[in-house]
Amino acid sequence: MINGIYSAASAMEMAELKHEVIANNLANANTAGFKRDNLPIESFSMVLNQQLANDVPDGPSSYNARSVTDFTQGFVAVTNGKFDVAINGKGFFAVEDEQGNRFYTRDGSFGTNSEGVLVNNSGYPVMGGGGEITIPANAEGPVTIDNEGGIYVGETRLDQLNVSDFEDRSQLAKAGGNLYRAPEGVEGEEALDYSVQQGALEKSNVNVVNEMVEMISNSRQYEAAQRMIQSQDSTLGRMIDAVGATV
Amino acid sequence: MNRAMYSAATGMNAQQLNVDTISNNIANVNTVGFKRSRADFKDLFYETLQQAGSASSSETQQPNGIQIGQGTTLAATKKSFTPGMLKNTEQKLDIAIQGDGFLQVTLPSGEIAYTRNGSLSVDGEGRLVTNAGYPVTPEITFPEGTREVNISDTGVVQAAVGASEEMEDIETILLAKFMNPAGLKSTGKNLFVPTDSAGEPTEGAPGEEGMGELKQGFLEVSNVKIVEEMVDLIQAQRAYEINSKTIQASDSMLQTANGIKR
Repeated sequence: MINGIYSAASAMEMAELKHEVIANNLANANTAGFKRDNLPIESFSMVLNQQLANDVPDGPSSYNARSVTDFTQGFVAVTNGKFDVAINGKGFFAVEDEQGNRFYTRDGSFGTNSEGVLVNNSGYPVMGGGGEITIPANAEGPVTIDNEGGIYVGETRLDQLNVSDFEDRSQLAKAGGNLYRAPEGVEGEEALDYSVQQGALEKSNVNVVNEMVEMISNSRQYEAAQRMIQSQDSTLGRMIDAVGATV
Repeated sequence: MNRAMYSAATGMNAQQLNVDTISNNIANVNTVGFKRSRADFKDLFYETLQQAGSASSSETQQPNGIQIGQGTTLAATKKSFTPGMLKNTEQKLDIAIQGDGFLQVTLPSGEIAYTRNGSLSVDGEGRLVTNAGYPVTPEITFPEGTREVNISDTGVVQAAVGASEEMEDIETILLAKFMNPAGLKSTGKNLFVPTDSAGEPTEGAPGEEGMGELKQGFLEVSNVKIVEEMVDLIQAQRAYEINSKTIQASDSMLQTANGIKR
């Protein structure tokens, strides 16, 4: 009886967590390069069996969840910005902060700083073939970026945007600011299956309809779990009354 | 639960700023030399409830962690310096810049500001000034009795004075350009002032590399495209609405939680 109440309570906890994930997805429905998170929930018995089989010393947790980032392609919208670039396919742009920490991003809303270095919206230099990319001040001709990420000033090839990918993209952790951080010791490999488009930005891959449907079903699940607690509470109450009456 | 409400609130805030930016663009659709801004967003920090790669047993690891996002925020309002269309006005003192250069004007404080609005006039002292009366720098003063004015593509200002038929050179208009014009700060009145991010201005005559040539009798209209702005406005409004629904859903979930205890 009491166990049932705990199961229902863990269901409510999970639904809350899921609701928070959906809320963050929806808040970022207009964030360039944003990738939605998903929170698949595993059943208690499954986790229990897994943990018993693995002979885990600590007791089984009442639930198990993993936030999985869904890296499907977002819609590529034309912006005509000179330094707006979108990746079609698999890969990430690389940027580095002032400490030399490398981040990966799908948000190609770039610009130059006062020295002509190509930077992202946080001011982190965008990595090219050999580090920072500097656009010359007195560029002869327009800056163009080809499908492979090659940067040209007029006819002259200047550099190549670093586009890297990971065999296991689930290792990437979100760092905020549209950036991903790879675990220590893991470096992106050269991406193979991509094309770069200049003058366009990849929109968020959040599908508003799906998120709304998920939000409705999730809040109903929350409600159902609450009813479960209520009904068990009333059964428990009745039992206590009835048993108490016979004494 | 509170995280969801705050995430949604950051979403509403961000979309409010987005609408503010778009409406300013639309309001300036007929402003000469106006450059549109675009609101860029980024996701906020993530709370990591469980690290990816933490042990799930003595031999296995969690392939994914649990990261809960905290919403969104404005990353930048990016000014787009794409050229606007040139409009023929047939006014002798209207000039348009076909390139990246800016006209320089001296503010009453003595500081230099930069503008793409070439709708110029002459003030009481014969100086070439902007619509606000700020003199163009380097200062250009027309002698008394000027009848005819000619401004060449390379910025040479010529005038025919008095009865003379001949055009004499008065001065050359100099332009300035920036490494990163998107980093300039808008101060209103179509003026921009430099910032650390824009870089130092480089001065040069029109027609020099990248500065652009002048076109007398033309004005550069705003680079705002109404259709684009309207599409962005619809998106922003809907995104705002959706975030308000998240708050409503969070509220009703909290109500449900309150209902556990009768």
